Amino acid sequence: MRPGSWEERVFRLLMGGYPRSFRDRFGADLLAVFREQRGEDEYRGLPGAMRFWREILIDWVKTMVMSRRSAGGVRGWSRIDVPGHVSREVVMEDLRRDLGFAVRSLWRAPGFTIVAVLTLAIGIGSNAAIFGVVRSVLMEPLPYGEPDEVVTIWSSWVGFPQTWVSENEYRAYLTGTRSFEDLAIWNETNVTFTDPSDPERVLGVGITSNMVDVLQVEPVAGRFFSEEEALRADSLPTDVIVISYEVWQRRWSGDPAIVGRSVEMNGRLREVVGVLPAGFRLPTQFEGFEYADVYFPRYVPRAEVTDFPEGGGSHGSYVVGRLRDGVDVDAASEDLEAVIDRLRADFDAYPAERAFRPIVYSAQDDIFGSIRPALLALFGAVVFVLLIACANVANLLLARSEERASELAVRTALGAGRRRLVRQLLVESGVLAAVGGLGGVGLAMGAVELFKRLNPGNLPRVDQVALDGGVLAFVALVTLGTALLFGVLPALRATGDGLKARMGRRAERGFGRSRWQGLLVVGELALAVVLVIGAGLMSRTFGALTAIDPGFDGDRVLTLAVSLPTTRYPDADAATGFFRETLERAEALPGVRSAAAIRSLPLASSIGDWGLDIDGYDEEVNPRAAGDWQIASPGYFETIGIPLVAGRDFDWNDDASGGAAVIVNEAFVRTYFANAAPVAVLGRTVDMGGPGDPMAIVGVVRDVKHNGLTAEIKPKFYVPVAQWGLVTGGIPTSLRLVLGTSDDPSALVQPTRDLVRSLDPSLAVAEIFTVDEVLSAAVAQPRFVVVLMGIFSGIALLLAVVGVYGVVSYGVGLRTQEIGVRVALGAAQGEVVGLMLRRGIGMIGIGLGLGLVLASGLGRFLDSLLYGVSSTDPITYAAVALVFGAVAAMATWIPSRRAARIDPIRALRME
Amino acid sequence: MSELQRVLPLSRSLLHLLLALGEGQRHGYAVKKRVEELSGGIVKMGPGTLYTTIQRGEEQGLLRESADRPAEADQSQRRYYELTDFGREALAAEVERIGHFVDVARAALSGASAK
Repeated sequence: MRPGSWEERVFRLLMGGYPRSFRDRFGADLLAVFREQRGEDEYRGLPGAMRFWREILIDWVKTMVMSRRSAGGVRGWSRIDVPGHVSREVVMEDLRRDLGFAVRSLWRAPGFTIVAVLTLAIGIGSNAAIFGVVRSVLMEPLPYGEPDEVVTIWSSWVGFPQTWVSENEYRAYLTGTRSFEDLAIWNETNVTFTDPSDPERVLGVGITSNMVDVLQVEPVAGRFFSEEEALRADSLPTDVIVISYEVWQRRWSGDPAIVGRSVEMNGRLREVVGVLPAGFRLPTQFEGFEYADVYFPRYVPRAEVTDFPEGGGSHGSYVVGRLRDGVDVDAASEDLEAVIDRLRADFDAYPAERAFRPIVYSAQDDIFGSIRPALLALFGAVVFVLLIACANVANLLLARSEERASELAVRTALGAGRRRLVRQLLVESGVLAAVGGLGGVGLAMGAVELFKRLNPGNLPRVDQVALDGGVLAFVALVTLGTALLFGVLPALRATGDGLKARMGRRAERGFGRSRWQGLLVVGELALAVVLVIGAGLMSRTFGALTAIDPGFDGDRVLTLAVSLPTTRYPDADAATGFFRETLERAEALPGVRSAAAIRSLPLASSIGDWGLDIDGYDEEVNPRAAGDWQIASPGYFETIGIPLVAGRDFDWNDDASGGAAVIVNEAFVRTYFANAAPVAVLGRTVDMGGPGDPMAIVGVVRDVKHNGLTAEIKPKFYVPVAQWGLVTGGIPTSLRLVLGTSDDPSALVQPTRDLVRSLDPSLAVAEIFTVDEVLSAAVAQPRFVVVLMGIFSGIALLLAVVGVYGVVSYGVGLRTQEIGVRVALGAAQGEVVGLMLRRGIGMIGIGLGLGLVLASGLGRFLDSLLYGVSSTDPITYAAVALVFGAVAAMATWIPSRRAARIDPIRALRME
Repeated sequence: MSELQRVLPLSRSLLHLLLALGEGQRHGYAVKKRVEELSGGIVKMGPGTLYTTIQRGEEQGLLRESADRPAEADQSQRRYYELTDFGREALAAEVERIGHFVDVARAALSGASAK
């Protein structure tokens, strides 16, 4: 082995672990023996080298301990600093000693150590958990190449702040803009793998083949479909599809032979040509749990339409684009608006009163925009918790350094320099923080589990949250910063001027220190007040949201989605027949009160509108009429508890043989019948513009919240399922069964599944949940924030109160002698307590005041999360001030009372 | 005798090391090789074990660095070690102690097997 080889360098490094005296005496010999041993025959080759290093390492670990034990000599703190140059070895040696000393000294003060470590673990752990979430939710790049260039495009008009794009608009954008490298369009539809042995309903998208270029994604197996295949899709005997990685694993156990295999979907065979990467989602599919498992081709010609409809056509597609280099979202937005302006001029489209406008979002903002404020608010909250924890530990250290004043003084007298002592104290802080950090990681693991359980449905990628290397690096950094934050001040104070003078003189100690302590407590009180106010505002928001009446009643209602393939249900009669039979049989199941079907369940899915001609409503002077459209079976309103205000419900006689019937909501009557009495509109007609006759209004029902608890209620109309074909010429293929039960709704999941399969074994039910779950999910995000804010502010309050208690209690101890004199001179108990209280109350007052001011300044960061309450809500502020003041005052009162019980004789004897 | 009681019993490494030096002065690596031979490869001495054991032996006065080096000494930098009189005494006492233990142990075993 050559001298200076890497192996020798490693061994030299290891030798640093031995005590200096040992190295000085034997260093060269150690190295010589190491070299000779390395040269022995038995350590030749790679296996030999591995054996050699294993032996060397074991030898090293064993002897490091032994050499330490036998090195003897002077250890610990009595070492005297040598001025001038200090070699690296000396520093390392000192550090080892400091570490050993710190561990022993913390071990001897278990009470202090446990409290400090716990406090730090809570502070660091909450930070690690929230950072882990923020990292995987907000900081991980989207699963696209160059994700910053990816944008989503939406439409907006009166009553629709953000809605879909029509294919006509897409074609106009494609040909009329220069901002985009390319645009892809898709629509969502439910598809069923109709293999009778295991039918499964999944979300599918029909998407243009350029998706792979726009999103820059490579299939992990096979390929994506081509534009050619999309163009010929209808004429091919088998369609081609691409599947998600997840469905590939779930249904086919990741079988590589899936590429090229034909699978039965919606009653037809399709050839799987490729598999997309794990975790791939379209930009609109990060929220919630549903994302596309099947991608099939959609063809849209790259040419502008020549006959542009007035409203732009049916708005039902999503559009995603990739910006050209150097183009930003604003420029792209202007580009699209110019296209709309041209269409307005050329085709007389988009009447001004609808205020149609295209919207462009960066994909990042679109996906994370709604959750970002909540996560950042929580991140802010945990940073506050950590600061408060640091202040508390700093206070503990200050108190402890007072107790150690004589020890430190002795060491100074023996020649230890201030730097040496500060370093020793900082090493102690470091050990505390490191143990706290370890505990914090443990806490964070638990917290992340809690997080996933609390998951609000719209927290993107929460399933991917993990405490990985990045989070651990963050913890290490935070731990280091924490140690400095809480350690430096006490270390400097403890070793400050006059340390020697303190030896044996206890009476004058602590004045400066208690001023620092007071400042720290005021600071942590202020931070805690901010957090408690934040939690208060969020719980008021939560209260306001849960107080909203959704307009329907979800008690013991089970819902399941069913989609019929048109290959097997080619017309409206077949589809209606299936649903009617299913509902009739379901009603016969034990435990079912009533069974019905609906197209879009309120608060569970979004609903859009359909242009209408309404009897007696003048579109010459009013905006064009439109209503959110529903397809409903008889009994739907009763099952889900929507009251009928006038007229009647549908029955199965409302079918293709009868006159077309429609039920509208109150908002419909308000908007299109000038607020007439509900009864007065019965018999008036509504025309959807389809092949059938206009529908006569047979009933009016109460409004329900549909696209969200806080969304505006719009005119809505319900068409009976048995007349959908008659009125529109369409087929009601995708409906949601709604079962009112007399008992536990979940007990009916399996019987209903079996029932559907007995009618058609190739069908699958999907999206099974209760309406109560829907209602609870509607407030999931505010609940999530309110629970976490509540936990964090509770911790903050507790820590701050402990801080106040500690300082006051310490003050009482410090002034025992003075109090003794006062009592001896005849001071009343009340006076003495008042004296002690005064300082505590002063700190609380200042901390509270600062906190309130700080909260009103920071409140605007919460604005976007609040509902029904202002960020400077006086009631919340007053309540927090009151509760906080009371709790903190208690924390002052308890130790203050002790002062009154001080026995003057004993107090005076103390010195 | 009380001096001996302070150092006995010898640790396994130290016993083997003294044994190797009992044959004459040696440098570190030679001690290591000889110990491995003597123990039939059971006692392995890495560099750390070797020199911490040497250090302990020195501290306890069992061995010392040789003042004059053997004539055949090759590399001039190497340090040679030899037993002190006390070391020789301790080694003898330890071997005696072990011999006694072995006698007792053998008797106990044959007694047990004779049953």
